[in-house]
Amino acid sequence: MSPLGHRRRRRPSEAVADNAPIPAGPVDDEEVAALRAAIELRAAQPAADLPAAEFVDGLRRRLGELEGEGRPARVGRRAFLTVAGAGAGAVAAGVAGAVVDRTLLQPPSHASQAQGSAAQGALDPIGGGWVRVAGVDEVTGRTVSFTTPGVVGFVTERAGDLVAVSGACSHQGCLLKLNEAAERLDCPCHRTAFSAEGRLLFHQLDTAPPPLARLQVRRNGDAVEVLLPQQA
Amino acid sequence: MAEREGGQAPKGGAGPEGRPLHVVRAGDAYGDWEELYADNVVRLYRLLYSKVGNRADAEDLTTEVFLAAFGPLRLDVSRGEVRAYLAKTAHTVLASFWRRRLGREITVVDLDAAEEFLERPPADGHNARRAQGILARLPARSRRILELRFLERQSLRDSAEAMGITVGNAKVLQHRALRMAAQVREDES
Repeated sequence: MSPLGHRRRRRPSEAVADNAPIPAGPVDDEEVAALRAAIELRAAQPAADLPAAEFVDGLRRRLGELEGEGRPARVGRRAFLTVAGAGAGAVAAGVAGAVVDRTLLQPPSHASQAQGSAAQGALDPIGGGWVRVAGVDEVTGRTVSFTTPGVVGFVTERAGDLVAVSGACSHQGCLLKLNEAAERLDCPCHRTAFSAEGRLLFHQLDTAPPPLARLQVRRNGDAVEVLLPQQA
Repeated sequence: MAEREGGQAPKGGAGPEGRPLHVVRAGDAYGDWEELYADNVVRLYRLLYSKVGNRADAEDLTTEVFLAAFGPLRLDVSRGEVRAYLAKTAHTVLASFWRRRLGREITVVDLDAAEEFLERPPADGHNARRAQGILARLPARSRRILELRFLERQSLRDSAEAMGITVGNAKVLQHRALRMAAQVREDES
């Protein structure tokens, strides 16, 4: 072990313990064995090996650009949906599919909350009331979770637009976890993830689950409020 | 990460057994490149993550495999052949990665296992069970530091705090624990 404080190259096995890229340089037999053990242990953490949404989207775009430069196969709308994981199932759901499509094809800031929530099987309570779920400054540019007696959800602000979604996975209702590093909502039950806007990013189920239910959300002074059923 | 590793990867003209790949369109062929991508990207990433154990390198390698496969890979072949091709490309790309990075081959993409992985990725608990088996054979403190760092994803600082030791000691403990874990792995194989 080098004396503490002395700058030396970080061991590859230490880098892996931090989920950091492996530093270049020679390694001895002992470090080779330790690194192999570290890689195996790192891959053992549930869902640690799921890719970040922005990576999957970014590489898809990059390949799409290459395709535009000369590959014969065309990028179809259907394929576009499939990539996001919202495949035939969601499209076949009629109106819901149309909303998925629009949500996918527009950047989040243009994905109108009103349109989205109405058509997407949103929780649209009759005689509900607006409930404060966060402060405006808490959600600026990020996603936060909230819990009320009736609903668990996530609210996000991007470029001035607020979006609130149900925190229950549309597959079997497992409570989604906010994965801040990857900017997505992970389902702990199956390998499924949604964007903060509720769009299905990927899944490995037989049938693509629909997008998350949207909640109506508004800004009220410095509060973010969600329309929820009136509590008794 | 602009290097392209196409050297040993099969070219589009012939399949793994030398059969031409583009004479007849396979029944289950992908409709287009995006469909192929969508069906394989997560599994390929998971496969490569299991070989390098960190996000940045797994992302780079996944990118490299798709870019390398993009030119030669034909869309009129069966999905099985696409998987075989991706597995072979991943094998080559990973081998080259280790050569460049450390000068030693640390992990290998086994072709048969990789094709199987791309077709039916192992369930969540598979790796965790194997890891638990290894950790169970370590002394308590060594086990604890690795659980904190790898399974619970705590920082070195937080792990040190949880164990009531200094960051420097946690680092030493972690290093020794990894060497012990490596020994357990060797004994098992």
